[in-house]
Amino acid sequence: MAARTWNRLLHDRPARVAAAVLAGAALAALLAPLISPFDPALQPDPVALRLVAPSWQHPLGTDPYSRDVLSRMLHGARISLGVAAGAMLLSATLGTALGALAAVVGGWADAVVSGLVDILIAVPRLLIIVALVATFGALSPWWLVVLLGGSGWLTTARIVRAELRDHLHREYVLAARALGATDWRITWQHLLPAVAPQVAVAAALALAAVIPLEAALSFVGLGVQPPLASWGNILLDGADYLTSAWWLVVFPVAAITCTVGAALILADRLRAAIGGERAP
Amino acid sequence: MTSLLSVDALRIDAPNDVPGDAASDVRNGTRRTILHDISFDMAAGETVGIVGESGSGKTSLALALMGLLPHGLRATGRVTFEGRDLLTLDDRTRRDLRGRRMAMVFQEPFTALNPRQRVGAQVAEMATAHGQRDGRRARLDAMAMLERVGLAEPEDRAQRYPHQLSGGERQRVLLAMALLLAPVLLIADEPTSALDVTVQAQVLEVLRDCQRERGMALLLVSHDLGVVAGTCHRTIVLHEGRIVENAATREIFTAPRHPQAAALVAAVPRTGPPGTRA
Amino acid sequence: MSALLSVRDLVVEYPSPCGRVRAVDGLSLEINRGETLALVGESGCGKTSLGRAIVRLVRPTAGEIRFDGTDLLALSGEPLRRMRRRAQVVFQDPKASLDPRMSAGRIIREGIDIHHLATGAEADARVGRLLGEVGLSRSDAGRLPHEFSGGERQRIAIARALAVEPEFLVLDEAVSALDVIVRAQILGLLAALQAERALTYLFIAHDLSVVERIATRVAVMQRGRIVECAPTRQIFDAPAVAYTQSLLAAIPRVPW
Repeated sequence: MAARTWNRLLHDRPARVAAAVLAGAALAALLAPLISPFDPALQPDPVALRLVAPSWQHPLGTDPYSRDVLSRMLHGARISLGVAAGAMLLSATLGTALGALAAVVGGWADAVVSGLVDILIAVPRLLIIVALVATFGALSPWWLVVLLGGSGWLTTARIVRAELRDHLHREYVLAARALGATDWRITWQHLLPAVAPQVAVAAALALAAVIPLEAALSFVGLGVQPPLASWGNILLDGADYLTSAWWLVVFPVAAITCTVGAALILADRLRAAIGGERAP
Repeated sequence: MTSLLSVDALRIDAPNDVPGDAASDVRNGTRRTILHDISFDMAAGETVGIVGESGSGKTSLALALMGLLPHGLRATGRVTFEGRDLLTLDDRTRRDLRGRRMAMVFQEPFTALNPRQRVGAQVAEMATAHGQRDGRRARLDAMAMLERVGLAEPEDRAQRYPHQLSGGERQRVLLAMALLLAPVLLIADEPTSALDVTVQAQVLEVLRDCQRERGMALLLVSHDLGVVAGTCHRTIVLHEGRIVENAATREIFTAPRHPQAAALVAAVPRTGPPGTRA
Repeated sequence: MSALLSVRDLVVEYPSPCGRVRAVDGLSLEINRGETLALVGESGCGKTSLGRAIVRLVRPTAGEIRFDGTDLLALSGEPLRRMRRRAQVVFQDPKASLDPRMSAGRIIREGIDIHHLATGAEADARVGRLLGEVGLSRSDAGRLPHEFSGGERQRIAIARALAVEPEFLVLDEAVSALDVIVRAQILGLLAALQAERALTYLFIAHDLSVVERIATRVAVMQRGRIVECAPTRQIFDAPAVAYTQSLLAAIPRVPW
């Protein structure tokens, strides 16, 4: 990313806060096995310890199966954020690659990719995934990454294609061609670095979209399956106790809201940072 | 003798690091002081050229006179126009003055025009924005002005959008907008730098004609002494934010005193039909 | 003695909303080794299209371009890449012709890397020498384009072109966007480089006065064709065609 964009971002308070939130969540997820007070699947006393409100022993309470909610939230972060990050990376990579292919190679490649995007973009993502799960059964987190990532590349591809097509006519690209640079070299050395900030924005937005998607799928029982924890299925476990055991709802929702909000703020600040540097 | 325009110890600073590209970005960031202690006078009907290289502060000077300095740049000193200090005026009076008494033409007409509005309407809007109630009258005046500035087929061009016109045509539209309300001072900031030399000659001729016809004062800013030579009786040479010469244009050519002025004179290609070459 | 560059009946067309536009309309010219041919005309006359067609950035619709006897339009792949070394281009806009994300050193090095002319320290040494040759310093290699002035950026663009050791340079309005003083300096640099490296130039411009000192011959272009082509002195002292005369008349006259 250009030094000046990066600089602007570093000095931007909302961006720093948002980044810190995401970094904190990621850290918690990574260190989950080390810092969880309990085993997330452990059901020590399904009778006495079920639905205990937040206390010193269980800071976030316990769920209907007496499992410690804090530990489940931490391990759930691993899954929820992991799936989201994986899907984001997959969709960013696919989107960039296909967008670049369409822009640089043009012709048939452009027709195929653009046609594909135009058709798929009208298809409701969630419905397709639900249909697939209904057909093939519940999905492992890996499959979730593939499905969510494989369906989220469309906007990135459009953005990359539009940006690169514009850049292809710039004189510094012409100069590289005149020197004898191959399309490959031009794409890697000149075009992709130019579009990297916009891809970062699209990726942040993709992250913000996937976290709730995964939570929603898990909530309806189609995503991450127990005993694996995810923020969505913690909510599912607490579905019947919404009014009595508030901690089963508040914490997962808060976690989702905070991470999605942070991702959105980051995307917005990044867009603002880029905006100041766009050359006509 | 009271001058039309009197600049007194004008100084323009960029007090903090102006983010991004500032007006004079040269080597390692922005300059702190763009103009130092600029003082000069202009009489009514006079033609004065302001010549300097990129970064000398000439565009900032032009913008400061019009009250159009970008945010972050601060102007101190005194700029007296028709007896009033422009730097202390409130925005409303400023805007009223702009267009009616003083007008500006920019280098890149494309960015100065609204891309979504037909050019004829944009010219007419100059009149309506300054109190002309009769829309029809405004349109007629606009058309007459477009013809006066030498726009070929004005009825056709007036219906077009800026991107549908050539560079020279756009510049003429800008000129029409500037001259519509008969200002007493026209500031032209590199009006021909983005144009072909043939179009440049035509636009300069229109400028000269309009200036003579209306007895309008003209401040012509350029990096090229050659452009200024045929149009301005007096020339001010700016170098690194300071005035280094202020004399009759002829004198600057025949006996330049400051090395920067001498360099500018030397850089003017002396060609033309046989007999005029140096 | 055959010409270094020979263009015959060249046609370059572009699609446009109202059918096809002929930017270059059956044009022929020859450039001899070591000379500077100035190509002068107003915006839209096709001179930029011609320049770009010659360095194979634009595909001509018809006609022939021969460089040192080789049919340029018949080349592709590796032979084309090797041929590109011999003819380079410098563009008009110093802001747009350098990748804003690359340092000056990296920009100049690109040609060296593409053609495997040198690697590592040897390549860096070449970049340093080239910077010196165009009037910049070695320490400028690490700086980004926005840290340079317009004239300095053009010097970097020239160094980039020279890095692959070309014989022929297309200068597409290379000084038009510069201040007069800087313009004179860059013209001086180009003249010096031409002598040192035995270069041949195609100098494209819209202003005749710019080319008077540097050109051996001048070709005047109007609407895709050449209307007059003669040695420089003849064009300035005794222009044959009315259009050329009008171009001369447009040059600002200094009465003193």
